[in-house]
Amino acid sequence: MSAILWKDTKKNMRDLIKHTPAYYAVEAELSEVPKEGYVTTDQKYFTYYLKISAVEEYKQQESIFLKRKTGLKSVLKIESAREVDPISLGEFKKGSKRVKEFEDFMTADRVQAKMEEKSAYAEALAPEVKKVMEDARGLGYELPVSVATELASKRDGIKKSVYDKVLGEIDRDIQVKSIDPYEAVGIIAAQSIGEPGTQMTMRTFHFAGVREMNVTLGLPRLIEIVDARRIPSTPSMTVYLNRDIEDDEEAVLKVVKELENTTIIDVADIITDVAEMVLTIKPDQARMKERLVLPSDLAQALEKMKGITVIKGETEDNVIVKPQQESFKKLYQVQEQLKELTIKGITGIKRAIARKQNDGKWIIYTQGSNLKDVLQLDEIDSTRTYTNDIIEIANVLGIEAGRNAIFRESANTLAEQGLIVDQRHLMLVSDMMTFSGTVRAVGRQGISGRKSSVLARAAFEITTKHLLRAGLLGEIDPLTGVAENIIVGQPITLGTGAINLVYKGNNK
Amino acid sequence: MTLTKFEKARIIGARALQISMGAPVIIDVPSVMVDPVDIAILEFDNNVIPITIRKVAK
Repeated sequence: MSAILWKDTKKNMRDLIKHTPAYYAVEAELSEVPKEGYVTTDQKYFTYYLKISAVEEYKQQESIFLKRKTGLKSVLKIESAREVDPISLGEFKKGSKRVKEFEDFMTADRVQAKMEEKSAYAEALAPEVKKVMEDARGLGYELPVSVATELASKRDGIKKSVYDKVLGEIDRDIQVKSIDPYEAVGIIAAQSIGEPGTQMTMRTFHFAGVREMNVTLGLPRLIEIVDARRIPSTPSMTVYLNRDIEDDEEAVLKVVKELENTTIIDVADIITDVAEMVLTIKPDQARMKERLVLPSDLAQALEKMKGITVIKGETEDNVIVKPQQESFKKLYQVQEQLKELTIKGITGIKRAIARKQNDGKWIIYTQGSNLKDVLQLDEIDSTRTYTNDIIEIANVLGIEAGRNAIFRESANTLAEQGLIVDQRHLMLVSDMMTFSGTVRAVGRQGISGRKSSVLARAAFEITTKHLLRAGLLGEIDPLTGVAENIIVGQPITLGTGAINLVYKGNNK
Repeated sequence: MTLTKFEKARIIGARALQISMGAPVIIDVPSVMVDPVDIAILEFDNNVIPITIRKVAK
């Protein structure tokens, strides 16, 4: 089922919605009857959805909505129209390719993401595991799934009485080991990550192969994660391909070339002629060949650049570029822009290397990261593709994904060094870093520096500045945290300090 | 009611303080037992301390 896409003004669309069903005149000649229409007002997002039932030839008549005044050719019969949540251009496909650029009256298909309902976790469990959990529930115990799974595998050949005893023993053990309310879990997490952290080596890991790629690991990487750096020192992506081309070497190499960012300076020399006020681009044949860039790719890239005139050079592939305004400043600006001009590939991906896994499938590793643009590619599997740039994940996929990224990255960094840290400590850290809705660093710029209590901030750093500011603004400190209660000489609200006693009276 | 380790410690602590300052003990205490904390624990185990905890909803 195909839909047509076009652009109109907000006012027009609002009028149309009020008067449906209605006739609406457009300037396109349509051969087939589209079923649906999507209208954009800003060429980026489609916010109106129309149901179309018929197409007629345009005749002058009254009570008809006009997209514009002249050049009208057909009339669409609109059954209903409504405003919808913004749909981006990337959600439309023309043939098998994703729509990249918008043109008025294009036919395309909307690709709906495949949705699958996940069965409830409790339902998806194996029957034996469910049985164990039910047995425990019958005795008044609540078992975690992991424990129940373990027990289910060892269930065979155990007598009923022993089995019941085991269940009771497990429940008691869980009770003893669970964390009590008011336990200082933050301090415990800090200790539990910090101590193994002291044993980390600064060893870095190298990819095997001719072309090596470095990835920051160990202590520097862990510091990077908790500091929530905007850009990690070695951003890198793991790009998985669609399952049908995963083991096709040729297709994989094509994707690699599509990923790798090539700028003009990578394949050509740029010569500035100040006297003539022109720039000459001299392509280097050898480098062009290595990067698989054709002269036509170069021409195409130059076409998109604004404010320049392209003149074909006198010798072979040379291209002369002239700024439209004649000034040295402009000439310099154009030269700088040309250097950075992307011919092929995705901005930010400096290098891409495909590696064959043991199972014959290919995975592409990249140096540099650009999650948003890579996810737009048709050939990649967007459900598995991953980047080590936490902030980027949070920006593109949302804060929950960011939280998981912090957890995954820190757990992997520690595991790589052979250090065992309980996952709950790392979860606590990633929760603390993300609960506000943005990724915040641990430290002065982040969590510690933005505590709500004045006294706690003053105790941490730059005491006078915080106190003065608080005084000027009339801040109120509710004394709920640890540091502020120590300062005023009260018991802290943790552990025994958090318990309020009350006289029970002697009823006996 | 099951108490957490903090609640238990706080109750025993408060009771031990009372006993150390001369409060009468509620149950019979062996004459060899002189440490107020030990006496408080004994009282706690026998569930006779007239103190409970108040949970405050924040």
